[in-house]
Parts: sequence; structure tokens; C-alpha cells
Amino acid sequence: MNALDEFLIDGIPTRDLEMLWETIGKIGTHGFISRAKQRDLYLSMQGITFTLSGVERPLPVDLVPRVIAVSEWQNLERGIKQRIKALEAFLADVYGDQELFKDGIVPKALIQSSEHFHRAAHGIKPANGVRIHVAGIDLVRDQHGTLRVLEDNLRSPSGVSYVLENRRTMAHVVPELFNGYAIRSVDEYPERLIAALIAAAPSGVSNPNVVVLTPGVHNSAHFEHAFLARRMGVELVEGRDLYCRNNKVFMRTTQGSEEIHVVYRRIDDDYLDPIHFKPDSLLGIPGVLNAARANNVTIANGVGNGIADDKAIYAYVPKLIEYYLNEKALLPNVDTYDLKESDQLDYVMSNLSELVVKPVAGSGGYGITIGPKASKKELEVVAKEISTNPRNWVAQPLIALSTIPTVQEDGTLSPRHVDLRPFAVNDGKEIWVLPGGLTRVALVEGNVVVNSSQGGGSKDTWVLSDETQAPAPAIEVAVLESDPLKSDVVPQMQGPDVLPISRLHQQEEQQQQSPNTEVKDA
Amino acid sequence: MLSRLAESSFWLGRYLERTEGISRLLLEFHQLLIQDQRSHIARGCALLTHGLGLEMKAQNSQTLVEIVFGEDSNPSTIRGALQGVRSNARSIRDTLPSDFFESINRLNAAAESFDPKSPGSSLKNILDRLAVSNGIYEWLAPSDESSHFFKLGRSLERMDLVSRLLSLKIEKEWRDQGPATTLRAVGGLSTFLKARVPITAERVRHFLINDPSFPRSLFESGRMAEISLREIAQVNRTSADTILKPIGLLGSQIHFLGNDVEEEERIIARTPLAVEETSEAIRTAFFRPVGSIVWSN
Repeated sequence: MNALDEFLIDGIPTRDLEMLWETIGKIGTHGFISRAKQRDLYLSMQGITFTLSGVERPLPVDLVPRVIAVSEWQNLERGIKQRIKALEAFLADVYGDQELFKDGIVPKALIQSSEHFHRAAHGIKPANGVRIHVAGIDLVRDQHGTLRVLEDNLRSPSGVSYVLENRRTMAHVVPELFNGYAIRSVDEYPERLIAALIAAAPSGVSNPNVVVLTPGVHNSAHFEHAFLARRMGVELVEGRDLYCRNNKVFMRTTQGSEEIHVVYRRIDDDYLDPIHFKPDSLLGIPGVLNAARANNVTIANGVGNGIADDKAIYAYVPKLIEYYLNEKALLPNVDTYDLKESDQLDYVMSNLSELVVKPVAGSGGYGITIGPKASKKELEVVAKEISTNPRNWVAQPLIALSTIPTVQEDGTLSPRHVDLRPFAVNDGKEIWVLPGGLTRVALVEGNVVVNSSQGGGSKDTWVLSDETQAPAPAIEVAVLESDPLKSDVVPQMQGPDVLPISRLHQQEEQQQQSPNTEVKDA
Repeated sequence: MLSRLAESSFWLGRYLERTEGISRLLLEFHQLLIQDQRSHIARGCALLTHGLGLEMKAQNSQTLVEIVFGEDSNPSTIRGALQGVRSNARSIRDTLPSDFFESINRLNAAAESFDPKSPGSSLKNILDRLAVSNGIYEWLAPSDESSHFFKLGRSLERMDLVSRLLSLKIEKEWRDQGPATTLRAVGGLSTFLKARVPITAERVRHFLINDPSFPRSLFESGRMAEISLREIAQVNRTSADTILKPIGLLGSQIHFLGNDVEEEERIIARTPLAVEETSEAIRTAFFRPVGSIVWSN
């Protein structure tokens, strides 16, 4: 099974990429070695890091970008919006009237057996109806070139800060690659997110107080939490900074208590509220769920969203799109075997060595067994675990993830497998998709697990802008009315030292002569 | 003190600040332009050269880098401003801490190795060296009349640069990246974000005009200029009021600005003029210019 290369077909770059390929050739092997050094220095100076197993290190961004054509992006954007719309409806249904069980769309047992289904979230109605404020939809391109959804991340998908920083890093380290390309900007993400969070505030609050809740500096994504809080201009808090009283959430400040209206939390449901979930959680805010139920605070993303990105529910998403939106799914899934069905279970058990087996509740690439690469013993262990509790597992055929040329340590290029995680923000009126997203790349040859928690790197992802359709975005009439270029050029002032060159030389010559005179005199 | 020394201290302050201001501006513009729509690049380049008072026209980000990095003879470019730093530092070398003089030479070496192909790292290098030079001056230079002239020059140059930056309207031109870029171009992003309010074009303009906590806001630089000038006037037993009038008026306009957007525009347009008037008044009062005498038969 041959993977498709997105960049080169039979060694020749696709049309959009010719110029880029030429520039890459000009930089050359030696060029890439020195640029890689510059990049590492830049990343560590900027403190753009990812904590892996307790060690803080830069998230390596590869120096060859990924390019997505305009037309493909437009389809992708539509597909992502559709998916999120359906999943929002699904969540509202599951935690509300549960019509879908009556209509027999998804077996009730499948939902109730999910460890992400939280009864405690039942009946919490978000003020603007949004539960998925931020989504990260993971996509892979199969050997035929089709982009397929691999999984939905609707709890707290991370990585968006690297999308913004990767662009800056690339512009800093390899500016010449940008020559001749017009790329859609990614910089407005924080503004979109804060607008969506403000829109999600409980009704009746005119000037909501928004915070970002982080588990703390030891979390792998702490850089991102700090980045978002800074860029959105809101406070970055830990659980111990907040407390609940009378079903309201407050923040401790030197000027007394301050009420909080929206908590953009980057901690898991399990740790969010020790009253309802893990009683020994030190990271959460006791009582925050009750405050949300009383409509005094909005928790973003919603509590219990995990049910919608559960890997066993994933197989039902195309069906959910039809049920809630009456549309066909625009983005196909990866085929998934439902191990509760005995015939499918039998097939999987006898073909384990060719399939990928994933725990339904897992994330971050942990616990995945890739059949063709696993040892006999590993397969036996998995087989045993599956037969004990088939609900906890799903199986999928192995997809040959597409590849993109990636810079190696010796400066040469070599194809490496990639995936794509576009990010979407829902403000209740519109779902906005960040142009591009995070391309993760497996830096080890042949490796198909790209998760950053598994030592993967990333690539700057360019969505080319369609200049014919989108005029240069910001030249508004209002700006042109008082166009700065129409004003007179105001020269900068000069100090006294800039004499006319002739006079300057004259003075210099005379000054140079005087020591000689002194010597003579002495 | 000697008028010549006073004048060189004043211009040393101005050119150091100018080198930093243009470097930051170029760094950020370059970032902005290489990602931009093709049709928009020429306009973006024109904005920067126009704002810096340069006559040359750039076609793409690389020629823009070359033009703004510039040459020794043009003090509106990085090289030219650096040349101003060096020549003024040289002429008052005996009064400067030797560590500072050394740091200026290192700064110059950093500029010598400027690589227009990767302006990002080169400019960061220059900015690092500038920070060292400014730091050494703060720690080691005696707080005397000379340092008051230095700081006065720095404050006036700041006002000039910030008003030039604001007149480019980057934050309106590039709606998404513009506001953050404007702040980065004066190193003000972190200070702005401390207020914990979202970045909008209006807030950014307001912040750079009259935020009292940011040392480079027009208001704060004006206030610092006034403090330095009053110190100088006291030493020289003269009154600073007449000299201060242009920036003093500006200061009170900023103080009573409120949310008047049109008045903001007027203030931005008036600032370079007020700086020039003040600079001229300082020259007449303290540097005792004489017409250049050329003997001839």
C-alpha cells in the first residue's frame, strides 16, 4: 500500500507548488542545516515549547510548509461546519430530550456506557446554545487522496497556538519561501475565540468576565494556555484562584472578589468539579457545575462533550448528520468496526494483524496498536483485552497517511506522514474555521502516529488565498478616505553631524593633520 | 557644559532610539508583508517608506528591507541612524562610560553582519545590542546635564516615531494582524495585554497615544521630555516654559482627549511638528548655533 505524497507526484511538484519547490532547491542541504539551527534558537528564545514527559522542549516545526489549494479548503471548511453543527445538535439532544433514542438512531446503551457521558451535565442549558465553542477535527488523507475524518476533538483540543507561532517562525527563519504566494492569515484566532466566549456568557451579563482555566505550569500545553490568555487579554487562572459561593464563581484578587461569567477551561471534566467528579481533584473549582446549572457561569467547552468525540460514537456521525441536518456527510469517516456486533468482532479478531485498534476513551495516541507493526505478543494482549470488554475498543483498517517532504537532520528532504487538525470556533451564530490548522508530522521514518505527545513535529499550513474573490482584505473605504499615502512625506530630522560630504572630509583631513603638528612642536 | 557636548548627547539619544524604532518597525513589516496578498505588497511597502520619510519605492519585502536598512548617508534608515549614533558617541567619547562606548562598537558590528536574506535574525541581533547599550547607559552614565540631554533626545524621538507609526494606520489596513503588529512595532504588546482587554484597532491607538503606564506612549514620552528639559533649565538658571510650549500643549490635548477620534487624528498629525519646533527651540537656547564660517578672499 503506497502512501500518496501531497507535494510531489512522481518527483514533480504539483502546479501550486512549483515556485516553492524551486526556492527549497535554492536553500539546499547546507542551507537547511543552518536554518534548522536558527529555528531552534528562535523557538527556545521565544519560549515556544511543549512539555513532553515532564521535559520542556520546542515543538519542532518543519521548514517545508504544507500547502492546501483554495478549492479543497472550501470543501473542507463546509464539511467541518456541517459536522460541528450536527454534533452540537447531538449533544443538545443527549443532554436534553433524548429524541434520538426514541428514533433508534444510536443505541442508548452505547451512550450510557461511555465514560464521557456525564449525568451531571443533564439539563445544563448553555446561554447561546453552544457546547462546542472550540473544535479540532483530525483529518487524514488516504492513498486515493481523499481527506477523511479520523477523530473529532470537542473537549479541549490543543495546538492552535503552534499554528500562529509556526507562521511567525517560518517568516522569521525562511522568509524566501513566501515569495510569490498569498497565504490566508491565521492571526485572528484569539479575537474570534474571545468574541465567541463573550457571546456565550450567561444571559443578562453585559460585560462578561472571561478567564482561561489551566491545570498549571506542569501541563504539556501550558504554553498554549498562557498564549491564549495573553492574546485574548483575559486572566489565566488555576483552580485555586477561583471559588464558588451562592452558585456563583468568583476570582480572588487583591481588590477583593470578582465574579466570573465564562470559564474557558483547559482541564478535563474529571478534574473540573470535585463535588461531581473526582473528589480528590486539586485542579478544579468545587461547585462550578452547580453555578453553570444556575446559569451564572458558562463552562466552555461544555461538560460532557466527550460523548460526542467518543471513538465508538464516531462511527455514527454520518448518520447523525443525516438525522439532524437532513444532509449527506461532506467529509467521509475512516471505516470503523463496531466491536459490539458479533460478526464484526469476529472479523476483527481474526484480522488483528492488519488493523489498527484504538481504545475508545483514549487520546493523544496512547494505547493504539498498529496491527502490521505489532509483535505477536502485543497482538495477543490486545485480543485478550478486546474480548474482555469490546465496548472499550474500535478497529479501523490501516490507512497509508499521505506524506510531505520533510527536512531531516542532515539537511536532506524525505517524505514523512502527516495529518491535519483544523480548528473551528462557534459563537452561536457562525462557525468559523481557522484557515489551515495544525499539520502534525511523524518525524520518524515510517511512523504513522503523529501526535505531539508521541514525539511528532508540526508544519506550517498554508491555505492559499483566492485573490480574484477576496480583495485585499482590509483596505476599507474608511481607511482610503484618509489614506496615509496621500499625506506629504515628512522627512526625519537630522543631527548636526551630517555635514555636506565635502565639508565633512575637509574637517576630517584637518583633524587628522593636527597630531602631526603636535609631534613637530614637541 | 560645552554646547557641542550637549548637542551630541541630545542626538546620541535621538539616533539610538531611532535605530531601535526603525528596526522594530522593519521587523514587523517584513513579517506582515511576506504573508500578504500579492496585490497588497506594493502598497504595504509604500506605507513604510512613506512613513519613514524615504523617497525610494520598494516592490517587494526584500527590496523594502534593503531600502530601510539603507545607507550611512541617510539618517532616516537604520544604517544612517547608526552612523549618527557612532559619530555623536565618538565626539563625546571622553564623557561616556567606556563600557557604553564598547557596546556601541558591538552594536555596529552586529549591523555590519546584517543579512538582507534573513532580516529577522539580523534585526533581532541589532535590537539585542541596542538593549545592552541602553541598559549600560542607564546603569553607568552619571545623572548629569549630559544625561538629561540624552534622555530629552530619546523622549522626543519616541514621540516622533510613535506618531509616524500611528499615521501608517497598520491596525486599520490589516484588520486581523494589524493591531498586534502595531503594538509589537514599539514593543508594547505585553504592556497592552496586561490591561486584559481584547486588542482592537481603537484601543491600540488610544493606548499608544495616552497610556500613562507605557513609556513610549505619546503622553508618557512627552512627560519624560518635560522632566528632562526642566532639569536642564534649572541647571542653566533659565526657564523651560517657552521651549516646552509645543509639547506642553500637545500633552494637555492628550490629557483631555476622551474618546474623540478626530482629535486623535489631529494629535497624531501635530506631534512631529511639535517635536520639530521643540527641537529647534532647544537648539537655539542651548546649542548656540553659529552660521558656518567660510573664509575666502
